[in-house]
Amino acid sequence: MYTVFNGSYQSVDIDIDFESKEMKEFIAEAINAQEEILERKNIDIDSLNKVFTV
Amino acid sequence: MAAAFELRVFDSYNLAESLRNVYTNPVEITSKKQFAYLFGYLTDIGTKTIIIEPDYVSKDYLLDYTNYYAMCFEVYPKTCKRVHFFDSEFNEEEFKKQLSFLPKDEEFWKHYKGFIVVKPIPHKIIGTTVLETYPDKESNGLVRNYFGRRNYNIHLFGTDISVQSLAFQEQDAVLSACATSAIWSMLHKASCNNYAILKTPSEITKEADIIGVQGERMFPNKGLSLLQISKAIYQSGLVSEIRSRRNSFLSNSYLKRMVHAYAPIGIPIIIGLEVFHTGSRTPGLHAVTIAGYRYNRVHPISNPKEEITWRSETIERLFAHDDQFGPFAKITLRDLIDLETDWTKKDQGVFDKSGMKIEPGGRMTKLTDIVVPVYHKIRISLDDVESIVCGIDKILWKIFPGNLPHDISWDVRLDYSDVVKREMKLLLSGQKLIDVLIKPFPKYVWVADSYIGNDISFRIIFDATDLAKSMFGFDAFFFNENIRRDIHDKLSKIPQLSKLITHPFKAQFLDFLKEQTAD
Repeated sequence: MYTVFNGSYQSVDIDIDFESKEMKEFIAEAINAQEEILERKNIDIDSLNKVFTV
Repeated sequence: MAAAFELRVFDSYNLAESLRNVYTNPVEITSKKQFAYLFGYLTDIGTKTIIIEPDYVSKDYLLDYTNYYAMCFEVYPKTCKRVHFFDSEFNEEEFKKQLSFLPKDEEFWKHYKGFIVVKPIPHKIIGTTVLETYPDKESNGLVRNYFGRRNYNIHLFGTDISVQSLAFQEQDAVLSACATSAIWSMLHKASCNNYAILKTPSEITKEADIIGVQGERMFPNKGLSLLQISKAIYQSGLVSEIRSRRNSFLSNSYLKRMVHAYAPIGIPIIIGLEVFHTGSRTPGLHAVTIAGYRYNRVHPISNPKEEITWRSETIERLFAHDDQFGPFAKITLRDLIDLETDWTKKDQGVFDKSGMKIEPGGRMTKLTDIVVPVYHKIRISLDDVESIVCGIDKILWKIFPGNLPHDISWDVRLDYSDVVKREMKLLLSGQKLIDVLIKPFPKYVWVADSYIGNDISFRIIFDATDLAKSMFGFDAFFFNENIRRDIHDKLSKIPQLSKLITHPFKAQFLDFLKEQTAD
Protein backbone atom coordinates (compact mmCIF):
# COMPACT_ATOMS: atom_id res chain seq x y z
CA MET A 1 0.00 0.00 0.00
CA TYR A 2 1.27 3.42 -0.89
CA THR A 3 0.80 6.92 0.49
CA VAL A 4 1.65 9.65 -1.97
CA PHE A 5 3.77 12.64 -0.96
CA ASN A 6 1.42 15.60 -0.52
CA GLY A 7 3.63 17.61 1.82
CA SER A 8 4.59 21.18 1.09
CA TYR A 9 8.05 22.65 0.67
CA GLN A 10 9.58 25.90 -0.50
CA SER A 11 11.16 25.64 -3.93
CA VAL A 12 14.53 27.37 -4.12
CA ASP A 13 16.29 29.05 -7.01
CA ILE A 14 19.61 27.41 -7.68
CA ASP A 15 22.62 28.86 -9.34
CA ILE A 16 25.39 26.34 -9.81
CA ASP A 17 28.91 27.34 -10.78
CA PHE A 18 30.16 24.19 -12.47
CA GLU A 19 33.67 25.63 -12.58
CA SER A 20 33.88 26.11 -8.83
CA LYS A 21 36.21 23.85 -6.84
CA GLU A 22 33.34 22.76 -4.62
CA MET A 23 31.17 21.69 -7.56
CA LYS A 24 34.06 19.95 -9.32
CA GLU A 25 34.66 17.95 -6.13
CA PHE A 26 30.95 17.20 -5.84
CA ILE A 27 30.88 15.89 -9.42
CA ALA A 28 34.07 13.86 -8.92
CA GLU A 29 32.64 12.23 -5.79
CA ALA A 30 29.38 11.43 -7.56
CA ILE A 31 31.19 9.90 -10.54
CA ASN A 32 33.58 7.90 -8.35
CA ALA A 33 30.69 6.46 -6.35
CA GLN A 34 28.92 5.37 -9.53
CA GLU A 35 32.07 3.87 -11.00
CA GLU A 36 32.59 1.90 -7.79
CA ILE A 37 29.08 0.53 -8.14
CA LEU A 38 29.72 -0.57 -11.72
CA GLU A 39 33.06 -2.11 -10.75
CA ARG A 40 31.23 -4.60 -8.55
CA LYS A 41 30.34 -6.42 -11.76
CA ASN A 42 34.02 -7.16 -12.41
CA ILE A 43 35.03 -10.47 -10.91
CA ASP A 44 38.56 -11.51 -10.11
CA ILE A 45 39.27 -14.67 -12.15
CA ASP A 46 40.73 -16.38 -9.05
CA SER A 47 37.43 -15.88 -7.26
CA LEU A 48 35.72 -18.12 -9.78
CA ASN A 49 37.90 -21.06 -8.79
CA LYS A 50 37.36 -20.94 -5.05
CA VAL A 51 35.52 -24.06 -3.95
CA PHE A 52 32.64 -24.24 -1.49
CA THR A 53 33.56 -27.32 0.50
CA VAL A 54 31.81 -27.02 3.86
CA MET B 1 1.20 -57.15 6.99
CA ALA B 2 3.29 -54.26 8.37
CA ALA B 3 1.45 -51.21 9.68
CA ALA B 4 1.02 -48.63 6.90
CA PHE B 5 1.85 -45.85 9.30
CA GLU B 6 3.01 -45.20 12.82
CA LEU B 7 1.92 -42.36 15.10
CA ARG B 8 4.19 -40.80 17.70
CA VAL B 9 3.89 -37.87 20.05
CA PHE B 10 6.38 -35.16 19.03
CA ASP B 11 9.42 -34.95 21.28
CA SER B 12 13.18 -35.23 20.87
CA TYR B 13 13.29 -39.00 21.45
CA ASN B 14 10.44 -39.76 19.06
CA LEU B 15 11.84 -37.45 16.39
CA ALA B 16 15.18 -39.27 16.53
CA GLU B 17 13.41 -42.63 16.39
CA SER B 18 11.34 -41.44 13.43
CA LEU B 19 14.44 -40.38 11.51
CA ARG B 20 16.46 -43.58 12.08
CA ASN B 21 17.24 -46.01 9.31
CA VAL B 22 19.06 -49.35 9.10
CA TYR B 23 22.44 -47.59 8.86
CA THR B 24 21.92 -44.76 11.34
CA ASN B 25 20.73 -45.19 14.93
CA PRO B 26 18.96 -42.50 17.00
CA VAL B 27 22.11 -41.72 19.03
CA GLU B 28 23.97 -40.88 15.85
CA ILE B 29 20.98 -38.90 14.59
CA THR B 30 20.79 -36.75 17.71
CA SER B 31 24.49 -35.86 17.28
CA LYS B 32 23.79 -34.26 13.90
CA LYS B 33 23.59 -30.46 13.66
CA GLN B 34 20.54 -30.89 11.43
CA PHE B 35 18.71 -32.82 14.14
CA ALA B 36 19.12 -30.07 16.73
CA TYR B 37 18.05 -27.47 14.18
CA LEU B 38 15.03 -29.40 12.92
CA PHE B 39 13.87 -30.26 16.45
CA GLY B 40 14.04 -26.55 17.36
CA TYR B 41 12.29 -25.49 14.15
CA LEU B 42 9.51 -28.08 14.49
CA THR B 43 9.02 -27.06 18.12
CA ASP B 44 8.81 -23.38 17.10
CA ILE B 45 6.08 -24.08 14.53
CA GLY B 46 4.10 -25.91 17.22
CA THR B 47 4.53 -29.56 16.20
CA LYS B 48 2.60 -32.00 18.41
CA THR B 49 2.23 -35.23 16.44
CA ILE B 50 4.37 -37.30 14.06
CA ILE B 51 3.02 -39.69 11.43
CA ILE B 52 5.59 -42.04 9.89
CA GLU B 53 4.97 -43.35 6.38
CA PRO B 54 7.42 -46.30 6.27
CA ASP B 55 7.55 -46.96 2.52
CA TYR B 56 7.77 -43.87 0.40
CA VAL B 57 9.03 -43.62 -3.16
CA SER B 58 10.94 -40.35 -3.40
CA LYS B 59 11.59 -39.29 -6.99
CA ASP B 60 14.55 -37.17 -5.88
CA TYR B 61 16.18 -40.10 -4.11
CA LEU B 62 15.20 -42.65 -6.75
CA LEU B 63 17.01 -40.73 -9.50
CA ASP B 64 20.12 -40.34 -7.35
CA TYR B 65 19.78 -44.03 -6.41
CA THR B 66 19.81 -45.12 -10.07
CA ASN B 67 22.70 -42.75 -10.84
CA TYR B 68 24.92 -43.88 -7.99
CA TYR B 69 23.71 -45.98 -5.07
CA ALA B 70 22.39 -48.84 -7.25
CA MET B 71 25.95 -49.38 -8.54
CA CYS B 72 27.34 -50.02 -5.04
CA PHE B 73 27.95 -53.63 -3.99
CA GLU B 74 26.08 -52.89 -0.77
CA VAL B 75 22.36 -53.28 -1.41
CA TYR B 76 20.94 -49.93 -0.43
CA PRO B 77 17.13 -49.84 -0.32
CA LYS B 78 15.44 -47.87 -3.05
CA THR B 79 12.52 -46.64 -0.99
CA CYS B 80 12.60 -44.03 1.75
CA LYS B 81 10.57 -43.23 4.80
CA ARG B 82 8.49 -40.04 5.03
CA VAL B 83 7.86 -38.39 8.37
CA HIS B 84 4.90 -36.00 8.61
CA PHE B 85 4.24 -33.33 11.23
CA PHE B 86 1.05 -31.86 12.67
CA ASP B 87 0.57 -29.08 15.22
CA SER B 88 -2.46 -30.86 16.72
CA GLU B 89 -2.91 -33.91 18.94
CA PHE B 90 -4.81 -37.00 17.80
CA ASN B 91 -4.63 -40.78 18.01
CA GLU B 92 -4.37 -43.51 15.37
CA GLU B 93 -8.09 -44.18 15.30
CA GLU B 94 -8.90 -40.52 14.73
CA PHE B 95 -6.27 -40.29 11.99
CA LYS B 96 -7.66 -43.36 10.18
CA LYS B 97 -11.14 -41.82 10.38
CA GLN B 98 -9.84 -38.55 8.90
CA LEU B 99 -8.25 -40.45 6.00
CA SER B 100 -11.62 -41.89 4.99
CA PHE B 101 -13.46 -38.55 4.74
CA LEU B 102 -14.45 -37.15 1.36
CA PRO B 103 -14.26 -34.19 1.13
CA LYS B 104 -11.45 -33.97 3.65
CA ASP B 105 -12.00 -32.29 7.00
CA GLU B 106 -10.26 -28.93 6.42
CA GLU B 107 -10.25 -28.20 10.15
CA PHE B 108 -8.12 -31.32 10.78
CA TRP B 109 -5.73 -30.94 7.85
CA LYS B 110 -4.99 -27.26 8.41
CA HIS B 111 -2.75 -28.49 11.22
CA TYR B 112 -0.46 -30.29 8.75
CA LYS B 113 3.02 -28.71 8.88
CA GLY B 114 5.03 -30.65 6.30
CA PHE B 115 7.35 -33.63 6.02
CA ILE B 116 10.93 -34.91 6.03
CA VAL B 117 11.98 -37.74 3.69
CA VAL B 118 14.47 -40.06 5.42
CA LYS B 119 16.95 -41.53 2.92
CA PRO B 120 18.06 -45.16 3.45
CA ILE B 121 21.79 -44.35 3.42
CA PRO B 122 24.36 -43.97 6.22
CA HIS B 123 24.39 -40.74 8.26
CA LYS B 124 23.26 -38.29 5.51
CA ILE B 125 19.64 -39.19 6.05
CA ILE B 126 17.78 -35.89 5.59
CA GLY B 127 16.22 -36.02 2.13
CA THR B 128 13.59 -33.75 0.62
CA THR B 129 12.15 -31.72 3.45
CA VAL B 130 9.14 -29.46 3.05
CA LEU B 131 8.17 -27.59 6.21
CA GLU B 132 5.80 -24.71 6.69
CA THR B 133 7.44 -21.33 7.25
CA TYR B 134 7.07 -19.09 10.27
CA PRO B 135 4.06 -16.72 9.93
CA ASP B 136 4.49 -13.79 7.52
CA LYS B 137 3.73 -11.19 10.18
CA GLU B 138 5.06 -10.78 13.68
CA SER B 139 3.27 -9.00 16.49
CA ASN B 140 5.99 -6.31 16.71
CA GLY B 141 5.28 -4.93 13.22
CA LEU B 142 8.06 -6.85 11.47
CA VAL B 143 7.16 -8.61 8.24
CA ARG B 144 8.64 -11.75 6.68
CA ASN B 145 8.85 -11.96 2.90
CA TYR B 146 9.44 -15.56 1.82
CA PHE B 147 10.04 -14.78 -1.82
CA GLY B 148 11.55 -18.22 -2.43
CA ARG B 149 8.47 -20.06 -1.23
CA ARG B 150 6.13 -22.03 -3.48
CA ASN B 151 3.13 -24.30 -3.15
CA TYR B 152 3.68 -28.04 -2.68
CA ASN B 153 0.82 -30.47 -3.23
CA ILE B 154 1.36 -33.43 -0.94
CA HIS B 155 -0.48 -36.72 -1.29
CA LEU B 156 -0.76 -38.63 1.96
CA PHE B 157 -2.72 -41.90 2.04
CA GLY B 158 -5.33 -40.61 -0.42
CA THR B 159 -5.63 -37.09 0.95
CA ASP B 160 -4.26 -34.03 -0.86
CA ILE B 161 -2.71 -31.34 1.30
CA SER B 162 -0.81 -28.21 0.31
CA VAL B 163 2.05 -26.48 2.08
CA GLN B 164 3.83 -23.22 1.25
CA SER B 165 7.55 -23.82 1.57
CA LEU B 166 10.82 -24.37 -0.25
CA ALA B 167 12.31 -27.86 -0.37
CA PHE B 168 15.47 -28.52 1.63
CA GLN B 169 17.85 -31.46 1.87
CA GLU B 170 21.26 -32.02 3.37
CA GLN B 171 24.22 -32.85 1.18
CA ASP B 172 24.99 -36.55 0.96
CA ALA B 173 28.74 -35.78 0.52
CA VAL B 174 28.80 -38.21 -2.42
CA LEU B 175 26.58 -36.76 -5.12
CA SER B 176 26.35 -33.32 -3.59
CA ALA B 177 28.17 -30.89 -1.33
CA CYS B 178 26.72 -27.62 0.00
CA ALA B 179 26.66 -25.80 -3.35
CA THR B 180 24.74 -28.60 -5.09
CA SER B 181 22.15 -28.63 -2.28
CA ALA B 182 21.90 -24.82 -2.55
CA ILE B 183 21.31 -25.00 -6.33
CA TRP B 184 18.79 -27.84 -5.90
CA SER B 185 16.71 -25.78 -3.42
CA MET B 186 16.90 -22.74 -5.71
CA LEU B 187 15.67 -24.79 -8.69
CA HIS B 188 12.69 -26.04 -6.71
CA LYS B 189 11.27 -22.52 -6.93
CA ALA B 190 12.84 -21.38 -10.20
CA SER B 191 11.39 -24.40 -12.04
CA CYS B 192 7.88 -23.07 -11.38
CA ASN B 193 8.77 -20.95 -14.46
CA ASN B 194 8.86 -22.96 -17.65
CA TYR B 195 12.35 -21.73 -18.62
CA ALA B 196 14.07 -23.40 -15.65
CA ILE B 197 14.43 -27.16 -15.16
CA LEU B 198 14.52 -28.93 -11.81
CA LYS B 199 17.45 -31.33 -11.62
CA THR B 200 18.41 -33.91 -9.01
CA PRO B 201 21.57 -33.35 -6.92
CA SER B 202 23.50 -35.91 -9.00
CA GLU B 203 22.45 -34.21 -12.25
CA ILE B 204 23.42 -30.76 -10.89
CA THR B 205 26.89 -31.95 -9.86
CA LYS B 206 27.38 -33.89 -13.11
CA GLU B 207 26.46 -30.89 -15.24
CA ALA B 208 28.68 -28.51 -13.25
CA ASP B 209 31.86 -29.96 -14.77
CA ILE B 210 33.62 -33.10 -15.90
CA ILE B 211 36.41 -32.76 -13.31
CA GLY B 212 37.04 -30.64 -10.20
CA VAL B 213 39.19 -27.47 -10.18
CA GLN B 214 42.27 -29.47 -9.14
CA GLY B 215 41.64 -32.20 -11.67
CA GLU B 216 39.94 -34.44 -9.13
CA ARG B 217 36.90 -36.59 -9.83
CA MET B 218 33.46 -35.03 -9.47
CA PHE B 219 32.06 -38.03 -7.56
CA PRO B 220 32.31 -38.41 -4.59
CA ASN B 221 31.86 -34.67 -4.65
CA LYS B 222 33.94 -32.42 -2.38
CA GLY B 223 32.35 -29.16 -3.48
CA LEU B 224 31.74 -26.87 -6.42
CA SER B 225 33.62 -23.73 -7.43
CA LEU B 226 31.88 -20.45 -8.21
CA LEU B 227 32.41 -21.13 -11.92
CA GLN B 228 30.95 -24.64 -11.60
CA ILE B 229 27.94 -23.24 -9.72
CA SER B 230 27.39 -20.84 -12.60
CA LYS B 231 27.70 -23.67 -15.17
CA ALA B 232 25.20 -25.85 -13.28
CA ILE B 233 22.75 -22.95 -13.10
CA TYR B 234 23.18 -22.37 -16.84
CA GLN B 235 22.47 -26.05 -17.55
CA SER B 236 19.17 -25.62 -15.73
CA GLY B 237 18.00 -22.79 -17.99
CA LEU B 238 19.14 -19.73 -16.04
CA VAL B 239 22.11 -17.38 -16.08
CA SER B 240 24.00 -16.01 -13.08
CA GLU B 241 24.70 -12.49 -11.88
CA ILE B 242 27.85 -13.07 -9.83
CA ARG B 243 29.33 -10.67 -7.32
CA SER B 244 32.46 -11.84 -5.57
CA ARG B 245 35.38 -10.60 -3.53
CA ARG B 246 38.70 -12.43 -3.27
CA ASN B 247 40.46 -10.79 -0.36
CA SER B 248 37.63 -8.83 1.19
CA PHE B 249 33.96 -9.21 1.98
CA LEU B 250 30.77 -7.92 0.42
CA SER B 251 28.92 -5.54 2.71
CA ASN B 252 25.65 -6.30 4.47
CA SER B 253 24.14 -3.16 2.96
CA TYR B 254 24.86 -4.47 -0.55
CA LEU B 255 23.47 -7.89 0.37
CA LYS B 256 20.25 -6.24 1.56
CA ARG B 257 19.96 -4.25 -1.66
CA MET B 258 20.58 -7.31 -3.85
CA VAL B 259 18.11 -9.52 -1.98
CA HIS B 260 15.45 -6.80 -1.88
CA ALA B 261 15.98 -5.94 -5.56
CA TYR B 262 15.79 -9.46 -6.99
CA ALA B 263 13.23 -10.92 -4.52
CA PRO B 264 10.12 -9.89 -6.53
CA ILE B 265 11.16 -12.25 -9.36
CA GLY B 266 10.87 -15.02 -6.77
CA ILE B 267 14.03 -16.99 -7.51
CA PRO B 268 16.05 -17.85 -4.39
CA ILE B 269 19.53 -16.32 -4.25
CA ILE B 270 22.69 -18.32 -3.53
CA ILE B 271 25.34 -16.72 -1.33
CA GLY B 272 28.87 -17.75 -0.46
CA LEU B 273 29.86 -17.50 3.19
CA GLU B 274 33.05 -17.72 5.18
CA VAL B 275 32.21 -19.81 8.26
CA PHE B 276 34.16 -20.98 11.28
CA HIS B 277 34.08 -24.46 12.85
CA THR B 278 34.94 -25.08 16.46
CA GLY B 279 38.63 -25.98 16.61
CA SER B 280 39.57 -24.43 13.28
CA ARG B 281 41.51 -21.19 12.93
CA THR B 282 40.86 -20.93 9.22
CA PRO B 283 37.35 -20.44 7.86
CA GLY B 284 35.64 -22.68 5.34
CA LEU B 285 33.63 -21.61 2.31
CA HIS B 286 29.98 -22.52 2.41
CA ALA B 287 27.05 -21.96 0.03
CA VAL B 288 23.47 -21.43 1.19
CA THR B 289 20.20 -20.40 -0.46
CA ILE B 290 18.34 -17.25 0.58
CA ALA B 291 14.58 -17.89 0.50
CA GLY B 292 13.26 -14.94 2.49
CA TYR B 293 13.93 -11.97 4.69
CA ARG B 294 12.45 -10.08 7.62
CA TYR B 295 12.10 -6.33 7.46
CA ASN B 296 10.41 -3.39 9.09
CA ARG B 297 7.64 -2.06 6.90
CA VAL B 298 8.16 1.48 8.20
CA HIS B 299 11.37 3.17 7.12
CA PRO B 300 12.82 5.54 9.74
CA ILE B 301 12.27 9.16 8.70
CA SER B 302 15.25 11.48 8.81
CA ASN B 303 16.12 15.03 7.80
CA PRO B 304 17.34 15.68 4.24
CA LYS B 305 20.94 14.57 3.72
CA GLU B 306 23.39 14.42 0.85
CA GLU B 307 24.16 10.70 1.07
CA ILE B 308 21.83 8.34 -0.74
CA THR B 309 19.37 6.36 1.38
CA TRP B 310 18.13 2.87 0.43
CA ARG B 311 14.84 1.61 1.81
CA SER B 312 16.22 -1.95 1.78
CA GLU B 313 18.15 -0.96 4.93
CA THR B 314 15.10 -2.02 6.99
CA ILE B 315 15.95 -5.66 6.23
CA GLU B 316 17.39 -7.08 9.44
CA ARG B 317 17.39 -10.83 8.92
CA LEU B 318 17.58 -13.34 6.08
CA PHE B 319 16.18 -16.87 5.97
CA ALA B 320 18.47 -19.36 4.28
CA HIS B 321 18.44 -23.06 3.48
CA ASP B 322 21.73 -24.10 5.06
CA ASP B 323 22.26 -27.78 4.37
CA GLN B 324 24.43 -28.12 7.50
CA PHE B 325 21.54 -26.96 9.69
CA GLY B 326 18.12 -26.81 8.07
CA PRO B 327 15.49 -24.84 6.16
CA PHE B 328 14.90 -21.12 6.74
CA ALA B 329 17.91 -20.76 9.04
CA LYS B 330 18.26 -17.25 10.43
CA ILE B 331 21.05 -14.96 9.25
CA THR B 332 21.03 -11.75 11.28
CA LEU B 333 22.80 -8.80 9.67
CA ARG B 334 25.10 -7.05 12.15
CA ASP B 335 27.06 -3.87 11.45
CA LEU B 336 28.92 -3.55 8.15
CA ILE B 337 30.04 -7.10 7.34
CA ASP B 338 29.17 -9.34 10.29
CA LEU B 339 26.54 -12.01 9.86
CA GLU B 340 25.28 -13.91 12.88
CA THR B 341 24.38 -17.44 11.81
CA ASP B 342 23.96 -20.89 13.32
CA TRP B 343 27.69 -21.28 12.61
CA THR B 344 28.34 -18.31 14.92
CA LYS B 345 26.16 -19.78 17.65
CA LYS B 346 27.74 -23.25 17.44
CA ASP B 347 31.35 -22.04 17.26
CA GLN B 348 33.17 -22.78 20.52
CA GLY B 349 36.44 -21.24 19.36
CA VAL B 350 39.90 -22.85 19.13
CA PHE B 351 41.67 -24.80 21.87
CA ASP B 352 45.33 -25.78 22.22
CA LYS B 353 46.50 -29.30 23.05
CA SER B 354 46.10 -28.69 26.79
CA GLY B 355 42.48 -27.66 26.27
CA MET B 356 43.16 -23.98 26.82
CA LYS B 357 41.00 -21.70 24.67
CA ILE B 358 43.26 -19.78 22.31
CA GLU B 359 40.59 -18.21 20.15
CA PRO B 360 37.14 -17.18 21.38
CA GLY B 361 33.99 -18.76 20.02
CA GLY B 362 31.04 -17.03 18.39
CA ARG B 363 33.08 -15.95 15.39
CA MET B 364 30.96 -14.07 12.89
CA THR B 365 30.14 -15.36 9.41
CA LYS B 366 31.11 -13.13 6.45
CA LEU B 367 29.70 -12.73 2.95
CA THR B 368 32.11 -13.53 0.12
CA ASP B 369 29.87 -14.09 -2.91
CA ILE B 370 26.39 -13.49 -4.26
CA VAL B 371 24.98 -15.57 -7.13
CA VAL B 372 21.64 -14.35 -8.46
CA PRO B 373 20.08 -16.80 -10.93
CA VAL B 374 17.98 -14.93 -13.49
CA TYR B 375 16.23 -15.49 -16.80
CA HIS B 376 18.69 -14.66 -19.59
CA LYS B 377 16.53 -11.83 -20.96
CA ILE B 378 17.13 -9.84 -17.78
CA ARG B 379 20.25 -8.09 -19.00
CA ILE B 380 20.32 -4.95 -16.88
CA SER B 381 21.67 -5.63 -13.40
CA LEU B 382 20.98 -3.89 -10.10
CA ASP B 383 24.38 -2.23 -10.36
CA ASP B 384 23.51 -0.70 -13.74
CA VAL B 385 20.31 0.78 -12.28
CA GLU B 386 21.87 1.75 -8.95
CA SER B 387 24.54 3.73 -10.73
CA ILE B 388 21.92 5.80 -12.60
CA VAL B 389 19.81 6.21 -9.45
CA CYS B 390 22.86 7.46 -7.53
CA GLY B 391 23.42 10.04 -10.27
CA ILE B 392 19.77 11.12 -10.17
CA ASP B 393 19.96 11.33 -6.36
CA LYS B 394 22.91 13.74 -6.67
CA ILE B 395 20.93 15.82 -9.18
CA LEU B 396 17.99 15.87 -6.75
CA TRP B 397 20.30 17.10 -3.97
CA LYS B 398 21.15 20.08 -6.16
CA ILE B 399 17.47 20.69 -7.05
CA PHE B 400 16.28 20.19 -3.46
CA PRO B 401 19.26 21.28 -1.35
CA GLY B 402 17.77 20.36 2.02
CA ASN B 403 14.44 22.12 1.43
CA LEU B 404 12.24 19.01 1.49
CA PRO B 405 10.54 18.06 4.77
CA HIS B 406 12.35 14.70 4.93
CA ASP B 407 15.20 12.76 3.39
CA ILE B 408 14.76 11.22 -0.06
CA SER B 409 15.00 7.42 0.00
CA TRP B 410 15.02 4.86 -2.82
CA ASP B 411 13.35 1.52 -3.30
CA VAL B 412 14.93 -0.23 -6.30
CA ARG B 413 13.68 -3.62 -7.45
CA LEU B 414 13.25 -5.91 -10.45
CA ASP B 415 9.70 -6.97 -11.16
CA TYR B 416 7.30 -8.39 -13.70
CA SER B 417 5.66 -5.56 -15.63
CA ASP B 418 2.18 -7.02 -15.12
CA VAL B 419 2.72 -6.77 -11.35
CA VAL B 420 3.88 -3.17 -11.75
CA LYS B 421 0.84 -2.34 -13.89
CA ARG B 422 -1.47 -3.82 -11.23
CA GLU B 423 0.31 -1.72 -8.60
CA MET B 424 -0.20 1.42 -10.68
CA LYS B 425 -3.94 1.05 -10.02
CA LEU B 426 -3.13 2.08 -6.44
CA LEU B 427 -1.21 5.14 -7.57
CA LEU B 428 -2.94 6.54 -10.66
CA SER B 429 -6.52 6.96 -11.83
CA GLY B 430 -8.52 8.07 -14.86
CA GLN B 431 -6.92 8.44 -18.28
CA LYS B 432 -3.37 8.47 -16.84
CA LEU B 433 -3.94 4.99 -15.46
CA ILE B 434 -5.53 3.69 -18.68
CA ASP B 435 -2.57 5.06 -20.67
CA VAL B 436 -0.18 3.03 -18.51
CA LEU B 437 -2.27 -0.12 -18.57
CA ILE B 438 -2.59 -0.22 -22.36
CA LYS B 439 1.04 0.74 -23.05
CA PRO B 440 3.19 -2.25 -24.10
CA PHE B 441 5.82 -2.95 -21.42
CA PRO B 442 8.79 -5.32 -21.48
CA LYS B 443 8.10 -8.42 -19.36
CA TYR B 444 10.79 -7.48 -16.82
CA VAL B 445 11.30 -3.95 -15.55
CA TRP B 446 13.44 -2.29 -12.93
CA VAL B 447 11.41 0.00 -10.68
CA ALA B 448 13.06 2.87 -8.79
CA ASP B 449 10.64 4.48 -6.35
CA SER B 450 11.68 7.76 -4.80
CA TYR B 451 10.21 8.50 -1.37
CA ILE B 452 10.10 11.60 0.79
CA GLY B 453 9.79 10.24 4.30
CA ASN B 454 7.43 7.28 3.91
CA ASP B 455 5.47 8.81 1.01
CA ILE B 456 6.21 8.00 -2.62
CA SER B 457 6.90 11.05 -4.76
CA PHE B 458 7.83 9.51 -8.10
CA ARG B 459 8.62 6.25 -9.86
CA ILE B 460 11.08 5.61 -12.67
CA ILE B 461 10.75 2.44 -14.74
CA PHE B 462 13.76 0.98 -16.55
CA ASP B 463 13.65 -1.67 -19.27
CA ALA B 464 15.42 -4.69 -17.71
CA THR B 465 15.81 -6.37 -21.10
CA ASP B 466 17.64 -3.43 -22.74
CA LEU B 467 21.38 -2.92 -23.19
CA ALA B 468 23.41 -1.58 -20.26
CA LYS B 469 25.21 0.81 -22.63
CA SER B 470 22.02 2.50 -23.78
CA MET B 471 19.45 4.89 -22.34
CA PHE B 472 17.38 2.16 -20.71
CA GLY B 473 14.90 4.48 -18.96
CA PHE B 474 11.40 3.42 -20.02
CA ASP B 475 8.80 5.56 -18.24
CA ALA B 476 8.32 7.71 -15.16
CA PHE B 477 5.38 8.72 -13.00
CA PHE B 478 5.28 11.76 -10.75
CA PHE B 479 2.72 11.73 -7.98
CA ASN B 480 3.33 15.26 -6.73
CA GLU B 481 2.83 18.15 -9.16
CA ASN B 482 5.19 20.56 -7.39
CA ILE B 483 8.01 18.03 -7.35
CA ARG B 484 7.46 17.23 -11.03
CA ARG B 485 7.42 20.89 -12.07
CA ASP B 486 10.42 21.76 -9.94
CA ILE B 487 12.51 18.93 -11.39
CA HIS B 488 11.48 19.83 -14.94
CA ASP B 489 12.28 23.54 -14.52
CA LYS B 490 15.72 22.91 -13.04
CA LEU B 491 16.68 20.21 -15.57
CA SER B 492 15.61 22.51 -18.43
CA LYS B 493 17.57 25.46 -17.05
CA ILE B 494 20.70 23.54 -16.07
CA PRO B 495 21.52 20.81 -18.63
CA GLN B 496 25.02 20.51 -17.13
CA LEU B 497 23.43 18.52 -14.30
CA SER B 498 23.96 15.50 -16.56
CA LYS B 499 27.61 15.73 -15.44
CA LEU B 500 26.46 14.06 -12.22
CA ILE B 501 25.68 10.83 -14.07
CA THR B 502 28.48 8.58 -15.29
CA HIS B 503 27.05 6.81 -18.30
CA PRO B 504 27.78 7.06 -22.03
CA PHE B 505 24.16 8.16 -22.51
CA LYS B 506 24.00 10.60 -19.58
CA ALA B 507 22.62 13.44 -21.72
CA GLN B 508 19.89 11.13 -23.00
CA PHE B 509 19.04 10.10 -19.42
CA LEU B 510 18.63 13.78 -18.56
CA ASP B 511 16.48 14.33 -21.67
CA PHE B 512 14.39 11.32 -20.64
CA LEU B 513 13.77 12.86 -17.21
CA LYS B 514 12.96 16.23 -18.76
CA GLU B 515 10.49 14.61 -21.12
CA GLN B 516 8.87 12.59 -18.35
CA THR B 517 8.46 15.65 -16.13
CA ALA B 518 7.03 17.87 -18.90
CA ASP B 519 3.36 19.02 -18.73
